[in-house]
Amino acid sequence: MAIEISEKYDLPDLKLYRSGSLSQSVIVWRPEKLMVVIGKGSDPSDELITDAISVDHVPVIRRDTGGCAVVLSADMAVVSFSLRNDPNKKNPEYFRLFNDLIIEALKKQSIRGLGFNGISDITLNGLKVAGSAIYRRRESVLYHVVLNLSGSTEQMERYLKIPSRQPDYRRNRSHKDFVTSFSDQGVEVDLVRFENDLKTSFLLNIK
Amino acid sequence: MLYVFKFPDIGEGITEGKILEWYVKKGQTVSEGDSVIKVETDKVVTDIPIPRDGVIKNLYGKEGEVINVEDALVEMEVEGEVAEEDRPGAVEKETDGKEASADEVAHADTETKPVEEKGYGVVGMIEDATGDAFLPSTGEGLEDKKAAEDAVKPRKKALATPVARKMAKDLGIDINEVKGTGPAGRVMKEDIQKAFDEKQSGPAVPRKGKAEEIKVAPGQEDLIETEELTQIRKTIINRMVQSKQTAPHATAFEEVEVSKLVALKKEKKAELAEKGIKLSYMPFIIKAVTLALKRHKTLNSKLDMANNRAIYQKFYNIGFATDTPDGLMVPVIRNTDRKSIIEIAEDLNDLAERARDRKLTLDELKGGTFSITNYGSIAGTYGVPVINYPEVAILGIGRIMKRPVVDDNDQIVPGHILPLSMSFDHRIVDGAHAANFIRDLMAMLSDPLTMLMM
Repeated sequence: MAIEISEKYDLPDLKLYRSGSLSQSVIVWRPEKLMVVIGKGSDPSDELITDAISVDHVPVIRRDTGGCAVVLSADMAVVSFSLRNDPNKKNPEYFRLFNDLIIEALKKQSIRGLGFNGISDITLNGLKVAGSAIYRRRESVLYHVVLNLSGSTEQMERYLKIPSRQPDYRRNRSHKDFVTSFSDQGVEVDLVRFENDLKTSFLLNIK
Repeated sequence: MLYVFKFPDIGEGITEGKILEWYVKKGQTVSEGDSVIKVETDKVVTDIPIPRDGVIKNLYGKEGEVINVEDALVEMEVEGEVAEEDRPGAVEKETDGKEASADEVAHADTETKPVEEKGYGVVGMIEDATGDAFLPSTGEGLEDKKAAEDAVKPRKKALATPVARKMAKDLGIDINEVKGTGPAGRVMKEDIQKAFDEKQSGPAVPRKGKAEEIKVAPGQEDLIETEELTQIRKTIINRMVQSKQTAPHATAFEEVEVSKLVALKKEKKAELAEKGIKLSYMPFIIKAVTLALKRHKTLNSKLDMANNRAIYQKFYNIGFATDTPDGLMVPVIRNTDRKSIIEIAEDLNDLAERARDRKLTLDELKGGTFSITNYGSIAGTYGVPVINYPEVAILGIGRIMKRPVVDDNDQIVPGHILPLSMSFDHRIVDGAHAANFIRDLMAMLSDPLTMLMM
């Protein structure tokens, strides 16, 4: 079934996308409703279960960054960073830098079992709890990560196909067996504190 | 020459990417660093910059196609030599460009390779009225007649060996100002070294008449003690006099409530101490000053009166006044806009320690664009700091004091007040410039997280 894709990306991190900000910036935000966001070059038929999306009237939006399709809901939090591009820094270094800041801020809430896996995933007890992507321009780098606070993995199962390209540690597991939420792992994230700790850490560490 | 740019490994361990968009077309002139293509890999959409200047001859791959690392992306015409592996013969795809012959490549090599000049070829000075010579229409406003004459005179380009030129560049010496002692006045490396040594001893301030002698009253010899001035003290004297005689100082005072900064520093100090990093308020202040300077370029400028112009610097080198057993020194932390607060803290501690041990290099004491003096770390609330000339402003930091403040609910609560005193060169920095700068600085010091939005 055909679905309509909105090319008008209007989520809270739009300003960071469009400005190509040369200064450091970080925002933490919560999606207001259930939606599916696909990558810049994604083919919806490759990544989405369009019948279910159509039946459930779930809006689909295309973003300017790469990566696979994601389900966003109010049970998730998104962190977006922008900073000046360092041409000498490789993409894996940026993923490491940003994800380490996220992990460090979460660890301040005594959350154990966090790790960095694949190219850009953050795991909790070996299961993916956050996925990230980067949009790199000549002057700036934009990074975003989706933290699954208490989002349903069943929704991911319903709307997203298993990606053809996977990190080794996924081992062809279904979304349900591969992804988790903080809530499912018995962890409650204090988002206000997380945001403050993250911004402080960003302020001290980012050039 | 033809040059082929290949899809580089962008470092994710991937071997392919999808072409999302071409930014250039055939026949277009591009410069090194221009983005030519947008490519998507598994996790990243990235613009790929071209590493050379030239004219686009061919583009390989259409939007939507998948390309492999090391596939040819762009073929372009460039000036100068071309590396053997980049010659078009190395590309299997057919091109419509002209292939360079080995002879042509060799010829280009000969043309671009620097050739050591021979001493006997020197015939004197070359007149060069173009280049960066700046010719004011009149001498009005120049400091003196000689400066005016110097400014309107065409620049003389010294003849020198490549070694001497490189040495001059490395040491920050204007080779055109150096008197050559080689054949026909050629500048040799010994001349550069001599000029450098002279520069190291500090700028000389012209004396007006003989210095006044302070006589000791008869019978009071035992009541005084004399000590010959050290070289560093002589330099301080020269610099202070030069600054006060050249730059008309004005000073602005402010108070900023910094309880959030105090709490943040307190929280992070212990954490960073475990990593061996000593955290004070200064790295935060230096970062905030840097961000404010980016918004207010006048405060990061220099006045070039010989050429009747202001020079706005787009780099940020912050000097910090340091008390040493030998006297005041102002080490410089370079490129503070490209350093994190933690990195600034590390530089600060390292430079301050080596300043006290007199282990700083000359390079670490020059090139500042703005200075900060933190007398509050010893004692003192306000001051009228002397500008570190030829910079145009200096920020004085007083002691943070616990004081009652009125909060947003009109309640009197304990607060932390940081006194600020900023002197500026009123020839170029207007009161409004200074006030706007201080306003932004205060916003960042009052709530450090606002630095993330600057």
